[in-house]
Amino acid sequence: MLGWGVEFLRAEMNRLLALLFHQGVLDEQFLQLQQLQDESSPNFVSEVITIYFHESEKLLRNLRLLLMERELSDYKKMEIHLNQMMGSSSSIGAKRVRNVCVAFRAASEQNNHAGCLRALELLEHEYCYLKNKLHELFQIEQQRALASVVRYPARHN
Amino acid sequence: MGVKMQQSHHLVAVKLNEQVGTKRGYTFIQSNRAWLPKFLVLSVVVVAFSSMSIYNSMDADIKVRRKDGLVSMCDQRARMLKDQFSVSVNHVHALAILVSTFHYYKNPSAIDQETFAEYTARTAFERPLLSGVAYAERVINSEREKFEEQHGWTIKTMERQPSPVRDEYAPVIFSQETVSYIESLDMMSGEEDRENILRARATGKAVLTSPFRLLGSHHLGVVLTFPVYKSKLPPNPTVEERIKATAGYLGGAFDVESLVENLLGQLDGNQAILVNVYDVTNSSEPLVMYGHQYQEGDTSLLHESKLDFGDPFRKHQMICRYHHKAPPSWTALTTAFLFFVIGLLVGYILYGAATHIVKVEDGFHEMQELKGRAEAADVAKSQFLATVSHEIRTPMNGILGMLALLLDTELSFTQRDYAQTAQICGKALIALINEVLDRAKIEAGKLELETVSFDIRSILDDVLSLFSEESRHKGIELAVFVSDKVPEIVMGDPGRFRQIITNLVGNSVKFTEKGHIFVKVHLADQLKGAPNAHTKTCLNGRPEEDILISGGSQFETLSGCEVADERNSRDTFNLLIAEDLFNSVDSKMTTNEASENVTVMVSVEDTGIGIPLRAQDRVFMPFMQADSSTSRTYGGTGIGLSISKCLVELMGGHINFISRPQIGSTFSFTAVFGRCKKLVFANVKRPTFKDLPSGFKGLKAVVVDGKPVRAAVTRYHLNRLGIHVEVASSINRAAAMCGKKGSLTAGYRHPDLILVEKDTWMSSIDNCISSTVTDWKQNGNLIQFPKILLASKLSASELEKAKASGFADTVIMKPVRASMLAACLQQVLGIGRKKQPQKDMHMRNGSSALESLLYGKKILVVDDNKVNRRVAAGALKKFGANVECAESGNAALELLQLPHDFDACFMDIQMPEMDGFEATRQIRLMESQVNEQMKSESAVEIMKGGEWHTPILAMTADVIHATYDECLKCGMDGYVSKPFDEENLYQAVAKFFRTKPV
Repeated sequence: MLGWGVEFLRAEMNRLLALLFHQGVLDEQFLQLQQLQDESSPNFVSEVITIYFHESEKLLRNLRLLLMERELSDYKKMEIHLNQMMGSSSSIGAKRVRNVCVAFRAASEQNNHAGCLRALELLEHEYCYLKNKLHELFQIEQQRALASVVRYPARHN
Repeated sequence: MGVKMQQSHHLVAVKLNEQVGTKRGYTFIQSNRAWLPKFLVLSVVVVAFSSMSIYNSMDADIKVRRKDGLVSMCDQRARMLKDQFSVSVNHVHALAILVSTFHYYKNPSAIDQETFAEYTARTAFERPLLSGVAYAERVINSEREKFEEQHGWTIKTMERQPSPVRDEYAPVIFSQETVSYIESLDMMSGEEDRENILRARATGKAVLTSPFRLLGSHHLGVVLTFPVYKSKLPPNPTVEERIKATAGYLGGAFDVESLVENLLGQLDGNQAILVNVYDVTNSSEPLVMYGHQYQEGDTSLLHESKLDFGDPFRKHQMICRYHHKAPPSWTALTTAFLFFVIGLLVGYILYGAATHIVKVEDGFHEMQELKGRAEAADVAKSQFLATVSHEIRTPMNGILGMLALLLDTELSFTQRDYAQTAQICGKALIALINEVLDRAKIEAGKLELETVSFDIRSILDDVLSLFSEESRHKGIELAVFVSDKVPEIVMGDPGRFRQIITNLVGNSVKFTEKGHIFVKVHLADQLKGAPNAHTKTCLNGRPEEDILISGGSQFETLSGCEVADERNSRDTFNLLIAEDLFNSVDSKMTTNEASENVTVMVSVEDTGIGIPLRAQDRVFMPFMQADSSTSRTYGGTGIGLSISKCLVELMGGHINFISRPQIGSTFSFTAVFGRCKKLVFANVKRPTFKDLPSGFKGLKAVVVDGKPVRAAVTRYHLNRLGIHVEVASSINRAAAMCGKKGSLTAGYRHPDLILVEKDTWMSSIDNCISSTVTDWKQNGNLIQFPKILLASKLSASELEKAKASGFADTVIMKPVRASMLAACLQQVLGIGRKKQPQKDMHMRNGSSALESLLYGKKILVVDDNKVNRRVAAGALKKFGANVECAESGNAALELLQLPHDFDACFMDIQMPEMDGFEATRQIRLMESQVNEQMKSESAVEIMKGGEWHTPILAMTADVIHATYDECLKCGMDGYVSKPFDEENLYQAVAKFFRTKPV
């Protein structure tokens, strides 16, 4: 692990980011988020993303409950949840999740139960994908941080 | 999502429009359009009927009149006939009395045939209706022979045979000559006569026969018979007495036919009517007395008039008819026809009008619908444009971001070059998209101008510095001149003003290969009322020869190149220089400060390729370049000028240009800015104003330049630094000036520095600089003046030469800017070196400006979304702000309970329970209550310049749809789009945070 150079890790990270951008999973908002991270708040991005995961999981759970509990789902409440989800997703730049949210909301506006279920499944799928990828990203980031820390003394000495 | 929602809104709006369109505005006619043809038919029928009735009534009238005419004519005829008849009858009666008187009462008889014939002939006029009269004596059979003997002839029958034996005879003894053929004929032998005679003597009155063919004439006629009595009758004689007393009979034949004809001939209108006279004694079988038996003439209309000929036994009547059937009444016919035609026309006109109305209204509705659709389409287009450019920006940011990342990686030189090229292109694309977005915003009417105070000169400096690199590279002179009368600080939209000038100058730079680009700013009123002739004398007080000396250039412009609007340019410029010179100091004070607004006129003059004449009228149209080949040669979309035009119009000004192909163009525009109150701008110093160092005040400089315009520009910049300037047209002159004045006038101050224009220097290089310098030395001026060379383009060899000559301490590359000039002078003179590091940092980039705004500020972020809250807080923290968060409107309200120490509040709009608008309203309510309280207790120390007003900025995710008005309505101070964008944030925050030196 330590053998991998910082540059390689950075390239790997960029490659992954580029992939995510290409797939439309993320948009430039994520970059802006990264720009906000500096020496004063070194873990800003991962902090925000963690909050995001936490919140989103809660929302997803609620949504599933709302859809499953009874036949007459509370669409109003669902919309509020979806708006929340959408807001936070666009804040971190999770584009695809946000788009699915839009579709979900459209379905819930029409009280389309089947559509909502489909959208929920899609949303969960997208969310999982995003989560996995971001985890991967953070892992690389950590490795990179580690690598840079490890290499510094070597260089100086 | 926002976009989609908008579109659906939009569709709904359009549909609503359509519905409204179909519902509203149908008039009576239009709603009953199906009835129109029926109405036409109905009107035709009605008109036909009414015209027929008109015809009928008129015809009936005519018929009545015709009938009346017939009646009156008939009656007239009958009366006349009767009168004539009775006259005749009376006369026959008289004859009868005559006969009885003279024939019987006289003995011997006084009458013989001769007398009778003569008398009757002479009185024939009295009896126009009678063809003749005769007297027959009653002869009883017993007396026949005696009678025959007495008269000498035998009694004959009507057939002129000797009469057979009968009881009585009535032979004619006297006769009128016209009927002499009946003499000696026995009247009793004729059937009608006999009957007549019997009846006459029985009644003693005149009697008539039924009509029959008269002897001799064969005309129809009647015979009138009167009895003649021998002796006087008793008063009421019986029939027997009458018969006994009868002596004879006087008869007369009425030739009715010819006589009636004769009679009618005397009357007018006999042609028109047909008269028949009948004997209707036997009513079932009327006998014709006159006229034709067979029916002819108008049988439909006839009139009967009774005729009383005095014989009670016989009844006669006259029947009149018109000869011809009533001719069709032309007047009635034409009247009716005309009425019909008119009615028809009126009906058709009404129908036509109605159909036309229907058609027009249909057209109108259609047009309205189309108009609605077109407007909707237009709005949709603008929105689409805005949306699309917005949407393009998003991936573009991605691309740029990735390119930035890519550039961070280790790249080979070629790769880096490619990536950089891509990045540059991407930036250009973003700039273009921003332009398109601008354009769309302007079209959608969403662009609003700011009103903040700004410094025109510093903006021009900015623009100048933006293009200085390019102009230097191309070797063209770029210069700015701002008249002294233009106020330092004005109120307006600096960004848009800069955009216009940048656009114009950018165009000029793009299309100019040699010569100059010259931006002049002055007040619009400054040129008014300045007579053109005045300019000559105002030429800076310089003698004419100067112009000749000055380098031999043909045109008195900045670079000596010809310009499009040459005369105007020179005149105005001279005027400006003159004004600025002569009323330099006090003019600033005396200018019309009273007026609220100043109209600034900016002209950008270049010596580029110009605009082809045929393209000049569509220069300001969007996406129109002068020539399609232009875009190939020079690039660009041609949208810039149209945006500039819109912006200028928004600023209340006009833009126009004068261009001569291959010579150059001059664009000029006016813009109206608010005058800034002195007091205000003393306090309000916006961070964008670059303070010029003030360390040069009171210095004196000599500018050596052969071209007055260029000299004036240099002087303008030096004047801004507070340096007093004198202009000399050549080095010799400058030296002479210094020398003379230095030696002669004691109070004269030596110049602190000398600026020499490169061209002038080059032209005078022959004069040997060293000699000049020695001149100065000889004059005893040992002070080594700092000498500065001004150049727009300097080759290395020239630079060497300059250095070698020892003349120039520094070379200032044009374009000259006050700040750059200041920096150079600082370097040269070594004064004003107190550089403020903060200031430098401040100038470094935008984010540090933002940092200076936000540093140390305590900001409340209100958002229900944890992630958003964190991101916003992170972003604000990055700029040094002290951030606190609240997750709902209620929490925010609690935190903002007065007094608090928050400097600003960022408020999410969409929140559950209490949204941003509501929260803001409540906060404002709270504040106003406290403010009221404070006012009432005026003794209380007033906080923060008087009143509580926490700046509240809305955070919203969708910018295009931004309900900006709503934000302002509920008391917010502005909005920022979410996620934060530095520039946007800066603009919003800068409005209410003054920069505080960090």
